[in-house]
Amino acid sequence: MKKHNTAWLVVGVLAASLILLALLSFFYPKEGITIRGTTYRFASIDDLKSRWTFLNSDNSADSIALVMAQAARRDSLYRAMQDSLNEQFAAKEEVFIKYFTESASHLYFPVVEYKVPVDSNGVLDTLSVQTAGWRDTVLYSYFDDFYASLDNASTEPVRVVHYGDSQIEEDRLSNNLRECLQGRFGGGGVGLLPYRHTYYNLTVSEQLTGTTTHYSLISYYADAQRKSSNYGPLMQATGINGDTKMSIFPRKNTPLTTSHYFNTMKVLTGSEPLKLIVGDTAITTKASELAITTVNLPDSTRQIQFRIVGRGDVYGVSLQNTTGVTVDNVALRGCSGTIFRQVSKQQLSDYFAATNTRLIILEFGGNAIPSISSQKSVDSYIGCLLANADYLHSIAPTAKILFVGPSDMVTSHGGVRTTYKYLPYFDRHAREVFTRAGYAYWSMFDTMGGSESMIRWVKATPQLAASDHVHFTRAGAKIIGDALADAIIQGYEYYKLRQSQLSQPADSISSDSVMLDSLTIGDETE
Amino acid sequence: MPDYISNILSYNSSAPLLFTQFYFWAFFALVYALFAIIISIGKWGTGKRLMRNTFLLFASLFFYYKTSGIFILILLFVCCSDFLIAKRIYSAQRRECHRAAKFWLVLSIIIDLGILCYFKYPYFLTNMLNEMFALDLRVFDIFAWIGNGGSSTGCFSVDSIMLPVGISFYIFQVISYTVDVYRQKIKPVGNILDFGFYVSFFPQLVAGPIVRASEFVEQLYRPFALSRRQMGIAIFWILNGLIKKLVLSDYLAVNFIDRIFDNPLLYSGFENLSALFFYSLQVYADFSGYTDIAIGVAMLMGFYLPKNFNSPYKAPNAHNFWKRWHISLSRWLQNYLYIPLGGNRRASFGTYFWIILISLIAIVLTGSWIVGAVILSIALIVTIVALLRPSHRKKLYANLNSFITMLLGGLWHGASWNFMIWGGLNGIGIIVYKFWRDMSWHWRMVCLTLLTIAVVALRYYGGQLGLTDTALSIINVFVVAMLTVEIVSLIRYVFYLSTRNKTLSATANGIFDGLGNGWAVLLTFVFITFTRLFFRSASNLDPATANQVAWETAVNMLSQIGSAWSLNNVGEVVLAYANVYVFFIVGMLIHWMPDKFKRWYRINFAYLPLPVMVCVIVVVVFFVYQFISADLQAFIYFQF
Repeated sequence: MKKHNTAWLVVGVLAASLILLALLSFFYPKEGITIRGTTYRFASIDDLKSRWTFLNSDNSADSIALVMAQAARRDSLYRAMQDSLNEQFAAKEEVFIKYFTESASHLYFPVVEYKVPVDSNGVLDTLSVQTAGWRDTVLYSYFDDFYASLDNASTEPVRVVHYGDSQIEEDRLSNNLRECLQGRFGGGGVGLLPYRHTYYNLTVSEQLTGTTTHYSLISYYADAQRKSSNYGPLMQATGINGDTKMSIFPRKNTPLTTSHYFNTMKVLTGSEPLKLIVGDTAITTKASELAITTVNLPDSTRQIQFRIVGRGDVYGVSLQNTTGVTVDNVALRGCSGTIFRQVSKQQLSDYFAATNTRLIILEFGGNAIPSISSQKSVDSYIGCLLANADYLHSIAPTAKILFVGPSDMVTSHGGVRTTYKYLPYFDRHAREVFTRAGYAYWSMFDTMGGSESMIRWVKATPQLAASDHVHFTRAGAKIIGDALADAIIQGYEYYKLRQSQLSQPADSISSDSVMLDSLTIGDETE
Repeated sequence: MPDYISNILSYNSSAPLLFTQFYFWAFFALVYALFAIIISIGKWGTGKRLMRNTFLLFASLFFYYKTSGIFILILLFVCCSDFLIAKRIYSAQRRECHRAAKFWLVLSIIIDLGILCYFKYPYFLTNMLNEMFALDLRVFDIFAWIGNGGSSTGCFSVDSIMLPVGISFYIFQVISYTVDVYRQKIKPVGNILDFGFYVSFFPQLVAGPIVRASEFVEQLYRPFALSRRQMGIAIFWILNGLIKKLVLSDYLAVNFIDRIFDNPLLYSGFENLSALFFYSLQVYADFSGYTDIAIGVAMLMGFYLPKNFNSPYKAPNAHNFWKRWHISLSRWLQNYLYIPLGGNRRASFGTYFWIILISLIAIVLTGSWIVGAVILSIALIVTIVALLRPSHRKKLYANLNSFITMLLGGLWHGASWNFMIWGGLNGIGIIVYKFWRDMSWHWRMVCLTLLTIAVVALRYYGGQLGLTDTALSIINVFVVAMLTVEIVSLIRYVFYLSTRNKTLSATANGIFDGLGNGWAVLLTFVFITFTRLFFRSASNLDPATANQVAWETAVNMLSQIGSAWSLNNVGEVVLAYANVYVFFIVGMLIHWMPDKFKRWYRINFAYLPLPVMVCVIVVVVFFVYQFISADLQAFIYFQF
C-alpha cells in the first residue's frame, strides 16, 4: 500500500506544480517584471493557447513554398515577356507594367512629379508618381544611360561597384549579378580585390607573401588606422615594405564562370612609385594619389602571379576584361554605409572616372536596425545615408545610384521571433526618400517576403538563412543575388522595348504610352 | 469532433511531443494519473502486470504516433517480427537445433538492419552505387508507393525517404533482444504486449538510452516500486535535464554556436574557437539533458534505465571518454559488434570484411584510390606484424577491432563521410592513447618530438610546397597544439627523470598526480572538441550535400582559428557575449565538480519536504522560461 502511495505522491506533486504554474501564468504581468534593466517574463495562458495553435498548424509546407513563390512569379512574368515578343508594343508593354505592378522584387525608379488638373478651372496640383502601374516611360528612364552603356560595353568597358555590409561578404550577391551581366553583355574577371585579403572570397583565392600593413576604415580588419584619408575605393589599403608576392587563382571546387577569366590586370597604387613585376616584365607605377597601372594579359587568363616591390600603398588589384562589364564587390563588415566621406574624394572620383563606373549599388541598413529605437532615429539615419549617396553622386556624376535596403532581420521578444520593430518602416521610408531624391531603390525585404519571412528562410530546406536570423546562407544569397540581377535585367528589357518603339516611324507609336489621360494607377502609387 | 480534440489526437510533423514542451508534461501528468489508478487497483499479479504494461504500451504508441505519425507501423512491425523470431530461436535451442537458431537470428538481424539501412542510409547507398558504377539511381520510397496504392503520385512522396524518429535506438534494442535470447541470457518475453512495451517505452524511445534486453526485460515482471527518496531523485533528474537542455544547450546554441557554424567565415578565429568549445558543452548538455529527463520519467513509473553519461569531460583519455559518453551505445557496440569481431583476442572474418568494405566506401566517398589503399595497407601491416610477432598479436587485433567499431559507431550516428571521420578520429585517439600508455617516457618523447618537428616543418616549408593559405592556416592550429603538447610533455619528462629514483612526500605526489591528471583531462577535452568539427551535420541529407557542408564548415572553422586572430576582437567578443561565456564557464565548472558533491546535493534535494520540492519545481520552470523567452543576442558587428 505504501508503494502505491508514492505514485499518488507523484500525482500530487505533478498536480500541485501544474496548478501553481497555471496560477503564476494567470497573475504574472504579461509584459514581465523589469528589475535593474532585465525583464523577467512568464508564459501567459494566452501564450500557451497561441503556442498550441502554432504547434498544431502545419506550417512546414510554406517553409520553402513562399520563398520560391517570388522567384516563380518572376519567372512567369519573364516567360510572358518572351512570349509577347511578336506582339504589338502595347501588349508587350502591358506585361512589363504588370511586372512593375505585381512583382515584389522590381526596381523602384525615382519619383516623377506631374502637374495634374484638380478642378474645372484648370488649377494644377503636383502629383508624385512612383513607377508601379503607370505607363509613362519617363518613370522608367532613370537607368537608361546605364543600360545604353551596357549595350556599348563591347567597345567601352562598364563598371558596377557594389558596396555593402557583411551580407555581401565572400562575393555574395555581387557574383550573381556579375555572372548575369557578363553573360549578357560580355566581360570577365572578378573585379577589384584587396591586395591583402581580409575575408574569404567564394570566387578566387589570393595568396600574399611579404611584409604588409593593413589599413582599413573598418577597424575589424585593420592592423592600423592612418591619419590621411587615402584608403582607395575599397576603403582599405595595404602598405607594403619590401618584396611582396601575390598569387590569384580560381577557388578549388568552384565551377568556372566568367568571373574566373580575364585578360587585363589593373593595379591601384598611391603616391610612392612601386615596381610591379609580372613574369619577366617590370613596370614602375606612377606617383599619384591613385595611380592605375594596366597590364595586358592573354585572353582567358585564369590565374596570375606577380610581385610588387618597394615601399608604399596598394589599394587593390582588378582582374577584368578590356571590354564588357566588371562588377566590384566591396564588403564592409559592420558598416552602416555612412563612411564614404572619410575616404579621399580625389581617389574615389579618379577611380569612378577611370573605370567608367556607371552604377553604384549601396546595400546598407542592417547594421543600424538593431540599435534603432524610434522612427525619428530611422529618419535621421536615412538622412545620413542619403547624404552619402549624394556625395557619391557628386563625385561620380555619370553613375546611377541604386540603394538596396536591408533583408528581413528577426529578433526574439518574450521567446517569440519577430522582425525588428522599425525594419518595415525603414524599408518603406528609405524607398520613399531615395526615390524622391532621384535614385533607384530595391527592396530585399519585400523580395524575401516581408515581415517574419526570415524565419521561413531559416527553416527552409536547404537552409536559406543562417541561425542568427540576419545573414543568408550561400543558397539564400544566390536566390537574392539572382533576384537583384533579374530586377536590373527586367528594367533593361523594358528599356530595349521602349528603344525599339522609338526607332519605329512616328505614326506607329502607340499614344497610350505617353498620354496622361490614359494613366492607370496601380496599388503602390504614392 | 472539436478542433482541439482533433489536434490532440492527430499527428502533426511540426508539433512532436518533446520533453521540453509544456504539452508533454500535460500528457505525462494525465498518463501518470491513470497509471497511479491502475497500480492502485487490486493485488499484484499477471493480470495487473499485463494491465500496467498494456496501458504504458498504448501510451507509448500514442507518444510515438504524435512524434512520428505513420512510421508507427515500422515500430509495430519490428515488435511483431522480433517477438516471433525470438520465440523461434528459443524453441530451436530447446530442440538443440543450433543451425535453425542461428538461421532465425541472422534473419532477424537482416530484417532489423535492412529496415535501418532503408530509412537511414538510402542516400548514402544510392550515392555509393552511383559513384561506383557510374549510375544515376535516385531514391524511391517503396512504402510511399504502396501507400499510394501502387502509384508514384498520391498522398505520399516517393522521391524522398524520411528518417523515422528514434529508429536507430529501437532497432538496436530489438537486435539486443534477439541476440540475448540466442545467447541464452534471457528467455523470450511471453506476451507480445509486454514485448511491445519494452521496445516502445516512451521515455527512452526517441533519444535513448539504448536499453538492452538483458537489463530491462526482467523489470517487466516486477511490481511497481518507488521509494520517497527515489521519487525525489527522479524529480531531480528531470529538473537537471531541463536546465541542461534549455539553458546550457539551447541558449548557447541559439545565441552563439549555430550562427558561427552556419557562417564561420563571418567570424574571427577566437569566435570560431569559442563556438567549437561551446559546442562540446552544448552537445553534451543536449543529449545528456534529454536522457536525464528520460531516466527521471521512467523512474517515476518504477522503471530503471541505465546511466548514459558519467561526466564524460572528466575523462583523462579517449578510451576512458567512451566509457563515460553515451554509455549505452558504447556497451551495445562492445557487446554486439566489438566482441563478435574478435574483441581483444583475435581477428575474425568480420574484421577483414569490414576493413575491405570500409576501404571501398572510403574510395567511393573521396574519389581517391589512395585513401582506400592507405587503409588497406595499414590493415595489412597490422596483420603481418600480428602474424610475425605473437606477443603483440592480441594488442594489434584489439586495436584493429576497436578502430572498426568506432568507424561503424560513427556511421550509426549518420550516413555521411564526416561521421566516419569523426568515428575514425575517436578510434585513432583510443589507439594512440593505448600505445602512449604502454610506451616508456623516453620513447614517448622521441615519437612526440619527431611528430612536432614534422608538423612545424610542414608549416615552414608549406608555402614552397604549394600549400594554400587555408591549408597553412589549418596547419597553424596543429603547430600550436603540437608545441603545447611537446612543452608540457617535456616538463613532465624532466619531472619524471628528476624524481624516478626519489621518494616524494604524499602531498607532493598528490599535487603532481593532480596536475598530471588535470592536463590529461584538458587534453582529452580539447581532442574530443576537435573531433566534434566533423560531428555537426544533418545525417539524412543527400550525402554529397552533407559531406560538402560538413567538410567546408570544418575547414573554414579551422582556417579561421588558425589565421583570423585579433587581440582587440577578443575583448569585444567576450564583452558582447558575456552571458554566453559565463554560462559556458559555469556549465563546465558544474560538470567538473566532484561526484561526491553532486551526489550530496542530489540526495538533499530528494529529501526536501514535498511543498518545498513543488516550490523548487516552479522556481526552476520560471528560471528556465527566462532563457526560452530571452531576446536574441545581436550580431556584434552591428556596432559600427
